[in-house]
Amino acid sequence: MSLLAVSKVWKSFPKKPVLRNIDIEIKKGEFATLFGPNGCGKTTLLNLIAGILEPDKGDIAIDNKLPQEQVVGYVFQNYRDSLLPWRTNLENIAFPLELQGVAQEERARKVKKLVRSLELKIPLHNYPYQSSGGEQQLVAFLREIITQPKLILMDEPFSSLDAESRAYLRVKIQEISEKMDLTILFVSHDIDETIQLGDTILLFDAKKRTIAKKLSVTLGRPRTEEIIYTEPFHRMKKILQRYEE
Amino acid sequence: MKKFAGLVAILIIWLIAVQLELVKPIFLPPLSDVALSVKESVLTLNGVITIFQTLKRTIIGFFFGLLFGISFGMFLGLNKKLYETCEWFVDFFRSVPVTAMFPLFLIFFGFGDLSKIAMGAWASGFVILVNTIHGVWNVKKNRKLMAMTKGASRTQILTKITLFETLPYTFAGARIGISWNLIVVIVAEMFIGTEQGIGKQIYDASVIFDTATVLGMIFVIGMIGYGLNQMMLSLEKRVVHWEGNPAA
Repeated sequence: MSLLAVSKVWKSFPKKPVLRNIDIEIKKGEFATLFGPNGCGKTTLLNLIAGILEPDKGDIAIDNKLPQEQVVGYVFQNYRDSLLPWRTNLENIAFPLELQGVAQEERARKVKKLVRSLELKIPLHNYPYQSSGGEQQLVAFLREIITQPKLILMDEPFSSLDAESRAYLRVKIQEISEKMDLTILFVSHDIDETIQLGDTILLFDAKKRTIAKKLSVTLGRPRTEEIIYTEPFHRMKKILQRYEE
Repeated sequence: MKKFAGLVAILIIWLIAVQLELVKPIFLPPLSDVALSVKESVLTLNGVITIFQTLKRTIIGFFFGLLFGISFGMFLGLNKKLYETCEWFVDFFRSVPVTAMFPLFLIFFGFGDLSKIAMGAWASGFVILVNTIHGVWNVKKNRKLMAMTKGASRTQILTKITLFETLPYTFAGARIGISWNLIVVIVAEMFIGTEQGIGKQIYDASVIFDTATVLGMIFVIGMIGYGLNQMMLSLEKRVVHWEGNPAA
């Protein structure tokens, strides 16, 4: 049974077809990565799944409900533009709970519990601009999972981070995903990242504007940076590189 | 020390010019006379009341200007179509010097404090209004999308995101607005007249060619303006603490 079912979805903007006949199925607890070059329509697809846009044709269902009826987590590429700089990290993470009317003390308790359970070191009482890029993106991620939404969408979340933070977060996100049994659709144009993170890889064909292939990644977890030096990783990478060409 | 080098140089030139009688006292009175008029304005009860009256009119006018600018600025910023239909109105009235509308303010608000306060509010209100509108338009799209994906209502987006995002713009407008307010109140005191006020004191001194008092009061006005600006800056740093930080 699929948690996310995208069926024959079409979307175009004035004089510009963006998505054609998109079919995606993601099971509960699956970590799916969507791979494709920049500007091919990946963000548009995420916006459709998040219910921000509506498809011209086709159906999208998250746990058998319309996207507009579900609250999804959405981690943006530009974390600085999505965090609220006038709030502390704690208040940022607690933001969805505040929208749901949860009392202030309860919100703080839940945030601290989440951070503790995931063994994270985040300066909760600092403001985002007093935190590193990696910490800020982690805060943005925790904000998306605090209410335990059914589906988390991640739009190239690590692309504007330095290499060290990127490496740390790629491992951390796998740990958190496994621990909390999250269902994630992660968009990337980085081959290594796509293979390192995904249980399944959805290959986006930029010319045909559709999902061309779905691949399963059989590498064990947790996948650290060292995995890119292994033989099975290379074999997988070659497939993606062929596709990229 | 370097900061004040220019000021010290001007004062020295002033002293020399007066000492050597290079300029008539009506154009450049002795520094000691100017200092005496400043002392009288700051240290005598009458002087303090004069300053207080001007400040009172300025602050009350500014408060109403803020109220008008923020509320209508938010409203017009959120309703772009409505703004487009009354853009001409905003641009027209903010382009007309409020001093040119003296007679109208006198008709509507009388000769008392109310007309001076209303003129100050008008002057600061339009600056704050335009800045607030631009603040609303510059809300980061991702922040709104983030809230939308969490099921935030329009009111929640307005009160928890838009209002805060607009603050840096509103503050920028408020800083300019409070200076305009002070200028307009003093000009109004000069030409509409009042029992007590800095503008009235300057006008009275100018009638009898008391240049020392005029210069002394100009100095006092400068200090008040500078003080108000510093006060706004300090408030802005506290409230909009994230602004200007490259990581924010």
